[in-house]
Amino acid sequence: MIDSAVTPLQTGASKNTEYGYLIGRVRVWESGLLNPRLLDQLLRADNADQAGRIVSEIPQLGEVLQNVAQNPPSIDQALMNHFWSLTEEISGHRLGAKVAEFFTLLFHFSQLKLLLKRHLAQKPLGSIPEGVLDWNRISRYISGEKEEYVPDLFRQAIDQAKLQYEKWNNIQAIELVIDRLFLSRVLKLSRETESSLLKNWFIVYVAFALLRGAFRIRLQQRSLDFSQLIYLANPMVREDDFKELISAPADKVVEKMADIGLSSVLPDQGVFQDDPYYLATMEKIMDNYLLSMLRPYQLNAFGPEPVFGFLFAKNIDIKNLRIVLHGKYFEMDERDLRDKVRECYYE
Amino acid sequence: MVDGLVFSLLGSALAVGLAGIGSAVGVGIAGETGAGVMTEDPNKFGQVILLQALPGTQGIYGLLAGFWVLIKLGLLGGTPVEVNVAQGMQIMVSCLPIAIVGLLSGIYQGKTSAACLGLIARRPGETGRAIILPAIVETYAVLALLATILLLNSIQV
Repeated sequence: MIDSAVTPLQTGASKNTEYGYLIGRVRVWESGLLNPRLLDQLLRADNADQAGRIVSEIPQLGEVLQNVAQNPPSIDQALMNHFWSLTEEISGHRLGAKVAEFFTLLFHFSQLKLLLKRHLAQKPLGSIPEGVLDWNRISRYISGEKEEYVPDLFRQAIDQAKLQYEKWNNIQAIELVIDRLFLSRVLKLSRETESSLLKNWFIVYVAFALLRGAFRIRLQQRSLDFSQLIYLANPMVREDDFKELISAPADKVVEKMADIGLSSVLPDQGVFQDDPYYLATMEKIMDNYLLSMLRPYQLNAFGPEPVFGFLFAKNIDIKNLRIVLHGKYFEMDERDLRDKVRECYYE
Repeated sequence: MVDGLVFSLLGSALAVGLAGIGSAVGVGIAGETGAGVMTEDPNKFGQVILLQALPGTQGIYGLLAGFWVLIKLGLLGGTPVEVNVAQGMQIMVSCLPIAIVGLLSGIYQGKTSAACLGLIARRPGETGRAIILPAIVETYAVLALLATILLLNSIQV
């Protein structure tokens, strides 16, 4: 699918009704999304067992986590399989493939990062859901078997990531190179889509991803040259601004963010901190902002927006479930968890 | 006589054809969403079929108007009636309300039904209310049929 001929997302009045089948399915699946009441119940659960019982009563999700060992790796695996199977279901539809392409790419690029890191750490491949890509083949290519067939996009990603890792001798170089390739595909999606909402959403997503990258580089006090591994030209964050966000003093960062028009994603507006918890809070605000862009379109009867919105909402739900279930497993305080969870799609 | 009959039959064909197209498109739109709902929840067949069938009535109204014309012309048994050009055009114009309104209302009713299928997929308890919304679109097809019948009856042949 990744290398197939481009079919722009069709949103013209006559084409919008063709999303009817997908929207019918999405409406049923939406009953399995978290809502504020359920999330609150999960957060108030006394322990992991009680949280597990609450999840077991949620449509679809209950089945996903049924008979899964109550430990973080097993929960993560089950949730990842669930999300991937939903993405594949939607991709199976003629128009759905293009709607789900962002999530397919997101999944493939994150698996690729994991695979490269495991290879460098000489760890086993582990279990990855089968999809469009043959991960064993990719794994062999990473190990140096260059004759293995790997789609051009991933071949390019692997080669560049390995090259930059050797140059910088830093595992983060792999993250940045692969993120840049992923973001370049997201920008391509923004150019192809006919939906003005999705076009803007993709652009904002890229801007947020660059900001996250810039602040992480800043936190780790890496050089500006290192930051070039992730930067790519985009409509919101210019290269000069990007560099300034990395190198300027903390008090200037707020001003620069205001110049770009993105100061609303900074926690404690007016005070920027080079602190991992501050960045985690900022990432939460970014997720909430991206969700809020999609929320007004959730009840549209036609068009790609409700399908895309559902997939993103599911993605956020999985983050929330991981936060809560892991938190309960490690007996974290309810208030700490409450600070971390994202908003729900349906309020 | 021949010209008048041509216009009359054209009116009948428009009523049946356009209203039928409206219904086919409407039923198709609602059917796609209904199929999506039933893929995930086959127990909703009863509600889905009801909402999918609603836009199908425009086609029936169009057919009724078409037959009304044929009966008026005596083409369905009995002696064929002679119609001049003016009468033929009057019959054709009389068929336009159900032809045009049937076409458009069928499509819009299909869209409303599809939206309401999304409603019952998430909230099965709202089926009663969900049926009322597309049924309101139906009102205008019924009015158009009534107008067509009254117009046809007012023409002396």
